[in-house]
Amino acid sequence: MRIDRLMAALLGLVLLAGTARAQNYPERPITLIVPFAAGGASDVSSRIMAESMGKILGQSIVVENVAGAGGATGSLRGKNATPDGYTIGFGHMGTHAASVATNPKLPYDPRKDFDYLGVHLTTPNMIIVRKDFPAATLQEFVAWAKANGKKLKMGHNGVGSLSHLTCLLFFQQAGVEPTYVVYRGFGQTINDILSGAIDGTCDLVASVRGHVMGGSVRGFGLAAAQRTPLLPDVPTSIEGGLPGFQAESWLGLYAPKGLPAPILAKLREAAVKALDDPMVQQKFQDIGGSVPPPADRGGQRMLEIVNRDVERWMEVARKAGGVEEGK
Amino acid sequence: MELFDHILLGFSVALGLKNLGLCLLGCLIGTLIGVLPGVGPVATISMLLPITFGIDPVGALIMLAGIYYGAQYGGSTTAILVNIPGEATSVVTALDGFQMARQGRAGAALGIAAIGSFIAGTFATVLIALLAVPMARLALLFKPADYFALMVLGLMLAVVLARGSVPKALAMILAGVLLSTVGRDLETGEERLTFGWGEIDDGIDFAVIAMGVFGFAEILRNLATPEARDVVRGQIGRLLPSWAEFRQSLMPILRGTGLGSFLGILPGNGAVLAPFASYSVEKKLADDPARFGQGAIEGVAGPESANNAGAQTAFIPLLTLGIPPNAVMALMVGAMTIHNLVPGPEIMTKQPRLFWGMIASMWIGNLMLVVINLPMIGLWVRLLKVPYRLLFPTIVLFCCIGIYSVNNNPVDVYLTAAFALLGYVLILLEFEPAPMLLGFVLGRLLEEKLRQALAISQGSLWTFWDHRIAAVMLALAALAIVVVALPRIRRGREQAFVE
Repeated sequence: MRIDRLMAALLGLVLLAGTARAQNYPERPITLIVPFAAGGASDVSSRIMAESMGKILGQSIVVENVAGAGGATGSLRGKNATPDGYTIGFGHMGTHAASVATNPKLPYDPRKDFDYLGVHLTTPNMIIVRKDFPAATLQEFVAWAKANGKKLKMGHNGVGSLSHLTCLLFFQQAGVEPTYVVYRGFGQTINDILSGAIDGTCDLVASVRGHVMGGSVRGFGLAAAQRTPLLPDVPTSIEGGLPGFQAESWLGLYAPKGLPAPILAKLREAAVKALDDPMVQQKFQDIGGSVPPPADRGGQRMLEIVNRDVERWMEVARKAGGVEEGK
Repeated sequence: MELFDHILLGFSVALGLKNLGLCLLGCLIGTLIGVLPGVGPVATISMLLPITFGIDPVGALIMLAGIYYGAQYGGSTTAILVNIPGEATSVVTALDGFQMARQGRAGAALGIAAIGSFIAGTFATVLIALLAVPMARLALLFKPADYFALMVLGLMLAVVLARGSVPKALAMILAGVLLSTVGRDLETGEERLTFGWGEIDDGIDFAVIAMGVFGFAEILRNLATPEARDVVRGQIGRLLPSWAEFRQSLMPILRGTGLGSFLGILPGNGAVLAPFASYSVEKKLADDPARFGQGAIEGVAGPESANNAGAQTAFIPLLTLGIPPNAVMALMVGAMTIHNLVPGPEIMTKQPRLFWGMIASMWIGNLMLVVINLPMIGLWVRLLKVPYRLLFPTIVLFCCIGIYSVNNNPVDVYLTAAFALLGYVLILLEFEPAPMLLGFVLGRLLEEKLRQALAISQGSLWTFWDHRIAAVMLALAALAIVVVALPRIRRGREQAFVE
């Protein structure tokens, strides 16, 4: 009886302390784990979000780069962090959806292990080829690929990377199997496209935009419903007659599962509010992405997107067969 | 005429008070960090990246570039004075520079390193301005097959230049290549040589091996042999090299500059080869190769110039093609992206102020390094003259922070400790660790390029014959091996390396 009362009192204290903590949140700087090295689009977009959300919350948000295993190392650390709102993380379509299909040893489940804060940036994928490739449109490209099969040499940025999966999706839709040449990262891939050693790749608009605008490569087959204002001259996959090729990469933020509801609400609000900041919108456009439309913002919507894309990429991997087996 | 206008525009940008200040600040921070073993330019630039958010793009890039070559320069100081190369590129400087320091000629070694770097930097700056466009085309001639052959040639040259026996050097290079294969397979994603240990899925970090085998193992060796302690406290000697020494160094500086400028342009971190190549060239050309490894000033002048020239021409693939040839340049891409600059051919035409301003600031930065550092060598030396009981724990601490900051992963620190022990054992068994490091750095590229070349040729080995650059380089590599294996030359070589 006495112990029960003591327990109840203790529990009450803990709860009280918890509420007080939530009310004053955030009292100290927040860490944002980015599972990639500094410098890439993931890192840059996270730093822009950190700056803006920090202003809204009245505390600085410090970015910590924990690279490794295609983002799995940092995301695992994010999953295992204390759910007190002082550690949040960054994830994108690769780390928090496609990885389920490509990495059977993935140490977390993006569908269950995270409280999402919202998608903050989207960028569609597209096909690029070297500028002297004998095809100027998507139709011509698909026809050439069908006629030449393995002679078509497509590069990608590593097993399980977004460019790999996008290529798999594209060539499944087109019904051709090209020769894949594997690189470590986009810098290497684009180098061999520019030098003419390989024919092309499938990658994010954010990555290839500079080269397409500079005319050093040819781009078509934007994997989106509409043309992007970032590259208004590039026709979509629908215009090119391959409407099934739809792949928009998204970047977003999460917190470890089990955050106290008031803290989660504060973080989600800040993540959504930051997107209204014209400075943030401008900077995102500068790096080649767009802020999602209001209907696609927020943590609840991000969870839906995660679930949807896990299914999508499982399907692609199942059809490809080799991916799961090879991983 | 147009070039003159461009250079004028560049200097008008770079000589602005703010940009001049940012360049100075970058050079100072870079040198300070470079002198401290353990914290390399990559860690520094990534830590300082957020600061540049608030600065205009030109100023931000000028400062980051200053940090980069400041760190390169600082790394040589440490290599000469303490025999701890901060980076792969200063491994060679340590060979003869440290011997010079032992003989009380540290000042001359530091001086010639600065002068050589300045001459190389001046030349490389002019080269970037003159040849940015045509040179980028040259780099594009290199296909994966050619890169593979270049790596093979580089590794064979490393065998030729290694001290001690050929089999030992070959063994160390192969050990390095083997270490580089740890982690996920490029094409299948299968784990290799990880023994199921997830922490090394992505392979072993370069910093871990370099810091362990060179930094920590060197400290262990110093602690084991008390008399070596005097080296750091030894005479620095006069700072300016004598006229005879300068004349001796002039041709090596020019040759090193040429070699470094060429190798730096090749994407895929060709610059890392430059000091090694320069050292072996100088040694081959010397009247008395036996002096190398004993404090030959050419062995410092050539590689240092090659190093600096390569570090600078590495900007060419970045600025003309948007391809970062190494980790530091990758961070530069990040910095440019933040400021709405798409690195690539457009930079030159759309952002002439930035492009030419940055090039002009490179030359100013190099001048600053000489002007600031020659008088400040005393300060750096005092920093390194601190007694071992204070210096070593500090170095170890900084190394640990540096290694931790690469991936924010504590396992990297433990791994470094393991490599320190390995390095110490290697030193005791008289295995030279430098070829292992080179094997490690090039091994990964070697494998990637081989597999890419074979994927492109769909398995046909004739691709190495069809690519003429590759064929020539492989022939040269074979020649290097044959030459080393010839009994007469082998005897001569062994004599050359006798200490």
